Amino acid sequence: MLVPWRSRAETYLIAPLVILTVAYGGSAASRHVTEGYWTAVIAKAGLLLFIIAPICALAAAWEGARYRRGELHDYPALRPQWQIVAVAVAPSMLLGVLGVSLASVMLAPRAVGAPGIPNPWLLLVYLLVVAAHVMVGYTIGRWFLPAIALPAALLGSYVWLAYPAGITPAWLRHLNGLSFEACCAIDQMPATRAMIGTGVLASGVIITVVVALRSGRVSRLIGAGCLVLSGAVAVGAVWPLGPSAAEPRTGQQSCAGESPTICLWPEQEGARQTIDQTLRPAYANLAAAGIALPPTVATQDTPATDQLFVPMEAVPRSTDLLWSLIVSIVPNTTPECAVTGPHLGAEALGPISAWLALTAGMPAAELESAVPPEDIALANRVRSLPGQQQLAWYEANRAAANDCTARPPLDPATFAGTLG
Amino acid sequence: MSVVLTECVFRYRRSVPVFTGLSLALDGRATVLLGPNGAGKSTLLSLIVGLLMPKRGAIHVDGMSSVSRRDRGRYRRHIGWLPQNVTAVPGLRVREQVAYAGWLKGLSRRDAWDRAATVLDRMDLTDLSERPAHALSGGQLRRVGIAQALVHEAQIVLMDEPTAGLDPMQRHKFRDTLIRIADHVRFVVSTHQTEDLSDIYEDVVVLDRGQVRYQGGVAEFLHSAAMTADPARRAEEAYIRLLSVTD
Repeated sequence: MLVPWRSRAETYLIAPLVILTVAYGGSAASRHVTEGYWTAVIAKAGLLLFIIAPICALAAAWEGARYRRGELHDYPALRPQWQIVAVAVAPSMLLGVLGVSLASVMLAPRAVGAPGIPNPWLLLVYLLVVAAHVMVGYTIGRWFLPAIALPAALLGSYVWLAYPAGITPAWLRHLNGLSFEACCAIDQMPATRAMIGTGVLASGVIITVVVALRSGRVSRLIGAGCLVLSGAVAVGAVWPLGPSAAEPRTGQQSCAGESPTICLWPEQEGARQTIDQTLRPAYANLAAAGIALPPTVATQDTPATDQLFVPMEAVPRSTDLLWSLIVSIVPNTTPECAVTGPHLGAEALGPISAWLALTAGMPAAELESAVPPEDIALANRVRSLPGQQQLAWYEANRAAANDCTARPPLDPATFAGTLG
Repeated sequence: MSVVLTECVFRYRRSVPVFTGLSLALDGRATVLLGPNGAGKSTLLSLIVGLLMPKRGAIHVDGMSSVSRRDRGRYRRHIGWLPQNVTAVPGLRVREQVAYAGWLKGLSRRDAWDRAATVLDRMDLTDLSERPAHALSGGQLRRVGIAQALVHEAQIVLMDEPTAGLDPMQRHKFRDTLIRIADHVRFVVSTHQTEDLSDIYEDVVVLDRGQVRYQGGVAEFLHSAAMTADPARRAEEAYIRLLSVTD
């Protein structure tokens, strides 16, 4: 070790890093995460970058300040500048690796036992982000007095990570590596454009710093060019993205059974029996009531025309599964007319959801948490009608749900006896 | 081993030229570079070390060019450098600082560590090796600077005003240090203090306003002083006389 650990800032920053990562990772980060899906868990771990990267930048700035205060720039070194920098920042990077690992480990229990592995590309992007902050911190340390450099490295890093998510344009948030924390449902994966944008910008910053730290105006010009180029490529990559850094998951689902055929992600295979035992009877009950449903249930958000998209967790509960099936059947898009005016047809959504749930086999008691009691009561009255009249009530109200101007024909009495 | 400057031109940015075609060969075992402030001594040494590059002309050490990419590594390995201000690297002890300098000069970590102990021992600095570098006096730090310059087994050491700011006792110790290393390396010492001129040195170069005013042996230089001059002040007398004549 060229600079002994007793003199390295990392030695004294490990404790704050661990404490803050554990404290924050243990509370906020672990609350909202897709259980049993490694990609989502690792994506969520990215939230902790706003703790890890500034601490690493601070450590690197300290090392840059050592170089400056020791006037090593005036030493006729034989080693290339990149080697001197690499050795100087290696412990800061090591601290970053520790932080990212710790953040991942903190959240890992939410996915342990699930198939697959932690997303290596996401981890690579995180490490690139940390490395970029380390390099910038080191450079600031070399260029400015410690009294300026140390707070600038810490606060600058924090601001760049914490604030873009709250400001427009939306694509800005995809450049700092923190936007993945809201990713992913089980049918989603991190947006490739966001990963490319973050990775390219971070790599560009690293290369820029390495080039710019060499002496000479040409080196600095090349460095500036590299930064501009990587920035342009990164912005070009994330420009089309909205606020979310998630995109539909690719890859093959495994499908099994008939009526319906149920297609699942690998993470859901362990729960296939529960899913089968819940969805098949519900499907059969709905079919018996005359509801025509696609022959295949898929859990991906880009279903084919003959598939019904039923979102579900990796290990879903029966009640959640049934309710998810119902929500998939009920119209879930707001009609255009409702954007500017009242939407009278929306009154039908609760009752038809309740009727579908009861018809599918969901106990009324479990329905109470999702639908108002009066809607359940209305659905029960509808279910006292003969089957054909129930179906007529359902279809009439389902169609009316998209109507903004007319109230839906919710009264079961309207349908009683209509079909003989 | 010789240092040869050929038609060197150098100027700092937006400033008058320091050298407008300096040619000089330094091949003595111990050379003192005398000159008033602003004569170009530090610039000359910085050019030889490779911290500055001549705008035109060439600098060779043992046939290796300071500007050639092919030679640069071997060139720099031949040279040790003691800057005017030796700075303690924060957080390092003396041996660590010397080892770090060795690593910067291309030694492996292990070799740098071992060589640091050897060179500190040779310079009688072993007692200081575990002291924090920032706790040393100016004179001690200067001697540690020489250890840094020697750690990679340099063939020639350039020292820029090494005695500036040292008290008589520290200057004496520094002189002892030069005697210690004189058997192992050649050195060039710049100074504007004629009292530094002693029997350690073989050659004298007097530089003034970017021009070599004198180059020759120490004895000849001292002879150029008036015969009536106080023996203790002959160097000063010779120096003043030389610069007065050239004015």
